[in-house]
Amino acid sequence: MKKLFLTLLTVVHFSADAASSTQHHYNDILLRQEDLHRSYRSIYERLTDINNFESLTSWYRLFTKDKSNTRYYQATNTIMQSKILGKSYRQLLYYYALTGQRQQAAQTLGLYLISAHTLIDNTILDPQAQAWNPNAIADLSKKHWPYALARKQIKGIEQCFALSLQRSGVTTRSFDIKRSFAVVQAFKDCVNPDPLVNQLNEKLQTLFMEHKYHGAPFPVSFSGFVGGNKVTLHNLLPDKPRAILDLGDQLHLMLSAQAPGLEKKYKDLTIEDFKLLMDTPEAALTELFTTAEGFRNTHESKNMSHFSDSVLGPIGGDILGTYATMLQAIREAEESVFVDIFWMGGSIGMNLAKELFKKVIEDPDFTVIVITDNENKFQYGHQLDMVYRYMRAFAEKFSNKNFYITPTQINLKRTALPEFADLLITKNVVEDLSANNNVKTLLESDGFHLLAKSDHSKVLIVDGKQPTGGRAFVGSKNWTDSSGGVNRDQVAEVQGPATAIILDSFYYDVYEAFVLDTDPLLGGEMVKNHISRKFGDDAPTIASIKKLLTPIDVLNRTTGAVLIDYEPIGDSVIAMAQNNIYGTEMSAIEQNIQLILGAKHQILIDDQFLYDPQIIDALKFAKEQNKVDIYVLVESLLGYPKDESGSYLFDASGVLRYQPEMGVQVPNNLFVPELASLGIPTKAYHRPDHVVAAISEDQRRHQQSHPLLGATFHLKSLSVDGVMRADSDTCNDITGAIFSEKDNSAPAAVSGSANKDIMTMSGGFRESQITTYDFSSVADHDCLFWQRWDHHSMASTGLEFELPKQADQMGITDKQTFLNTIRQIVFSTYNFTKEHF
Amino acid sequence: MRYHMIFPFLFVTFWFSSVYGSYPISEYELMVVEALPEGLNLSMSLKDIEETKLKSRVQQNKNLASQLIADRLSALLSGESFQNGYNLLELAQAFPFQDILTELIAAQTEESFQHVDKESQFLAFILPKVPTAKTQDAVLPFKRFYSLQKAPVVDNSQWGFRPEQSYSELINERVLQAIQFSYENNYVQLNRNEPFFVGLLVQINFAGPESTINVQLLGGLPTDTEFDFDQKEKEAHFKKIRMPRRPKLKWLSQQYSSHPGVIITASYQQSASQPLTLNIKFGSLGLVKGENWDLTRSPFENPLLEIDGITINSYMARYNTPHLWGEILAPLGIGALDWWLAREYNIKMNIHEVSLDLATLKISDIRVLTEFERKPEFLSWSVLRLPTIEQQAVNDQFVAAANKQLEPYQKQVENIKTSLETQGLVYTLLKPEVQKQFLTLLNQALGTEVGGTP
Repeated sequence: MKKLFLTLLTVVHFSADAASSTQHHYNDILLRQEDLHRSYRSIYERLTDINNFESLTSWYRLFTKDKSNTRYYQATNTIMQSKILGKSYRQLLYYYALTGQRQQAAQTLGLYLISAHTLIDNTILDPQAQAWNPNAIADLSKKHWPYALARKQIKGIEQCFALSLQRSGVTTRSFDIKRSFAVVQAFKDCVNPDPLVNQLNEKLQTLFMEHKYHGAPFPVSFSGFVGGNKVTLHNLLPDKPRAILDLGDQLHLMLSAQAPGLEKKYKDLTIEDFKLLMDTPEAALTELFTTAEGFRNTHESKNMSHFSDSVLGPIGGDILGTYATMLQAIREAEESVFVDIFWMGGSIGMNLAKELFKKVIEDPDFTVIVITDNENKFQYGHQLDMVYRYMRAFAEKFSNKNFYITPTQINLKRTALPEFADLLITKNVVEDLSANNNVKTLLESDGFHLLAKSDHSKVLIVDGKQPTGGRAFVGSKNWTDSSGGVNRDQVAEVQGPATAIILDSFYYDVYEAFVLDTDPLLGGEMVKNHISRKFGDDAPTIASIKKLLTPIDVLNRTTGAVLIDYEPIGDSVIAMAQNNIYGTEMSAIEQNIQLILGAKHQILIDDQFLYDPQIIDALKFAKEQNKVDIYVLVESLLGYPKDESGSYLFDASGVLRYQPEMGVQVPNNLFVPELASLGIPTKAYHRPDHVVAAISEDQRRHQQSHPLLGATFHLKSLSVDGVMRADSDTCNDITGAIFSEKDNSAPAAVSGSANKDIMTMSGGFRESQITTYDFSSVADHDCLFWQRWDHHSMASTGLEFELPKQADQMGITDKQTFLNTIRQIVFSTYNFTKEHF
Repeated sequence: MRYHMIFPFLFVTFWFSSVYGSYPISEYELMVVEALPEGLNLSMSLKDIEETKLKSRVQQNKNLASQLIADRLSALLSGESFQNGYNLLELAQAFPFQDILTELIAAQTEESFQHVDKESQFLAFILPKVPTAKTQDAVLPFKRFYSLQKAPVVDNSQWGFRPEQSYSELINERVLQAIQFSYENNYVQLNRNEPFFVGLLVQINFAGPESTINVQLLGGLPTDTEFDFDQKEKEAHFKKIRMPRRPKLKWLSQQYSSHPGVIITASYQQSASQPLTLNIKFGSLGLVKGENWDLTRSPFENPLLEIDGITINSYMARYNTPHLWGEILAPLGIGALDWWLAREYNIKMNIHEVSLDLATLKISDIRVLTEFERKPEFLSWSVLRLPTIEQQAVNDQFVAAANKQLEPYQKQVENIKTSLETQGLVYTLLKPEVQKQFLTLLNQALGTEVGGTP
């Protein structure tokens, strides 16, 4: 009877043309993300977190010490593997069942089915998959269950599975090898006859075993591909000498100016000092960092185009630069602004802060939420801390306003060091280490997380909950003067339903940051103050935090309100990738690899770093197997001449000149010779002379020991199958650049925060990036790439460096061997496995 | 018989020129093997298992190590040299491994670990990683590009964790595949006949004052190579130093155990009379057994087959060892057989094992097995194969001769000792220049000028 019902359900459902309902698709994505975090997070962590996985492998090592157990395992595994194709899911499920944890066993099955469904779903919507195998994708989308329905079915399977285990005696929390029979029975009762299971299995077999799908054998992201958007790319800002010098002057002023009424400089003010100086919210705008003191204040001017001599202004005419566009978006916001930013400081950060203050001052219902990495500051602590304290004082003091800023909870992230660091150095050890005087001194001066954890995202989202008016800016731009100001960056602006999905991906980052803020040990007052003021002194903390987050809570988790119907407003597809806070998604690397493997004609890489072995491996495959042309443009890490003491050397005319012979340096050159041998040219970005001259002038003017403004090639981008090399001269055509291969490929460009180095790609940093399948943004990216390739870059062999004296001591006499040695030392540690006796 | 010995160590001097170039880059991996903590049981939740591990002795040692490392590292990072240049190589050189190890061992008192496991063993392997291209799955050709730690929904491969496989099976399988791959892809360049790096094992056993550290380096020997050598003794005229041959049959040549190999083991035990010893073993590449790497087909000792101090080791075995090769000159004292041996056989002296005390650079033991090899012109299907024999007196002669040769070089060993004192055993042994220095020293001590046909 049950079987008949399931079959009927399937038939009824399929007639409803499941896959095409765009509107449902948006909410499906949101639901799916939430399911992963709320219902399945602990199971997912058991499968992927190294400490969790380590416990499971220990259990199995103990288990298989008895050889008769191994035979039970093998026999049961034979039954399971016909329906669960993922080995790690089978192993976890079996453990749970044998130890009496039937609900968890059922949930493991559920997570497997959701993942399988998501994988199929993502493949159907992947423009590259469609370009390679249109017929196969058409077959795949036939009778595909929409998530909402699949979800119901999966819940049913889970219940059935848990019940069957219970009936077979899996009731107590103890080990019993005979429960292997219960697992087999539960498969017979609930899994083997299920139409969804069988259909997913069939599709997975087809997808992987016949059509040679190039994507990952797991869902790269639970948000997949989102259609119906508009995209604009922002990759320019004013960099005329006067704008650069102006920025340098402003930064110098920030670092040197005396705070009013206190015998301290601004940079030395504490949060309490700032509070003292802000009698009213308005005072934060008008009495600190004032125009009278020489500070530029964008909030005082209505029109961003007034700042033509500033990096915060237009590039030319009415065309705004990257910062100006984002500031303009904030001004136009109606409900909320959300910012997750790695670095926010200096005069740029101060101006952004004031624009945000102004929003909450002018509109009592307006909400601003800023989360930021507050631990990784390197040499920029002064300019970052000053702005953080300024904003934090405002947020703590004016709890009647909806303004929040708090550090991200980065300790929930996994390490970006080799995995064994997470096994070696436990949380307690980190705490002990942080108390160590030597370590403390080091962290205070240079500031970085001991286990290389960070929130490296650079995201701004305005009105993310609005059905059509939201805008999300995802890119590589930091909001600070050094490593921000005149850096070469790329930011993609998205309008449309994807905005809400991007915003929702940060919900738990904010939630965890707010929870962390209430930790009495950390002395946080902001969230506590706001809860007391808004909900009363006795209000429960967690429930109140969720209420505070309502303006950015797309799923209305607290209010239970009906989900918003997001409408398509354009035809661009967006695929989001992230290394999220819980590590339930670490998809930056997979998105890049999938794009590289899915390229049909050309790959352009422009990134600050490129030395992740997996990415390199994928590039090699693309070049050798798919015959794709590849061009690599990276930051030249040591392009400035230095003397023996490490000071920069200026030439006779007083300019710090770039030296092409310095080329690409370690670590960016680690793979360059190998890429070159495959016919993949690599170039290092060469800053325009006027920019270098202005940076040098700024350095001399303010007597800095090293330049504070860098014009770093700071992009973290990639594009595939866009404007071909042969068509690059069409970039200047009035009609726009030609996409000569667009009919048989899927042009796409990546914008975001994730560098292509091994630490980032390991997933340890909180990153966010988006791929835009959109001709206009791809053309914007590619045309600038070609312009830089032709005019602002220098070819590199990767060997333009002097062997260090240590190489000689190690018996290494040639550069290639030296690079190989470094590679072995660096990458071998990332190839890590753990076993037990 | 007195042998002026050129030890077949000279191969090792090639070693380090090839170690850093022959195997594809980034294709090594670190594998750590730990004892399961006591107190685990199969009913435990994963969280309980994690907590039990946190209380284990291994974890306590890790915590201590982390603290010591962080303390020293932060001092170095704050130091002037690093602040000026961010020189990571300098940092690595200045890192006080010896202090850290000494402190770790000093902390291994029974009192400090009353509530946890009494012993804790920890193995760290550096293994050749089978290149990702090799792991390509015919069914899922693109899977190799993606991490396997993100719970693939399609994954029926033999890669990754397999409960039914023990750690040693896993390592042996991995090494076997890597070696085969190396040969198939000429990473081990057969035409150049170079030695090659297979793996490194660091074994730490914390057991109070009996704590030990062993470092094993497993390498493949060059094959089909010989060096000219001229040494005339009363009984034999040695003309060559020969490396073992590789089987010519393809199926055999791709077998792991067909490859000649060497294991260099350095052992450190503070409480022992010889705290630091080195052992070099030649044979066929072998497998991990227990907690050590071993070579296969090592000669065995059987007292039942001993006659007048001569042990008949084997009638059949042919050992994959370097050897001195020469012609028999004088009667060996076995009567009527003398003329026949001298006419139809050549002599091979297989070097199997050398042990020495590193602190004094004194050789404590050498095992040499004598083998009689039928001259080609007398080869036939029905040829009589003679036993391989081991004679303690010959071993002793080798030891005495080697030690005599070593005497002038005692001073040179000071460099290594200083390095050990300042930088610790593991680091010292991992430093190529120290290895090179050490091996050059051995070659100088044990050899004369050689010509060769590598």
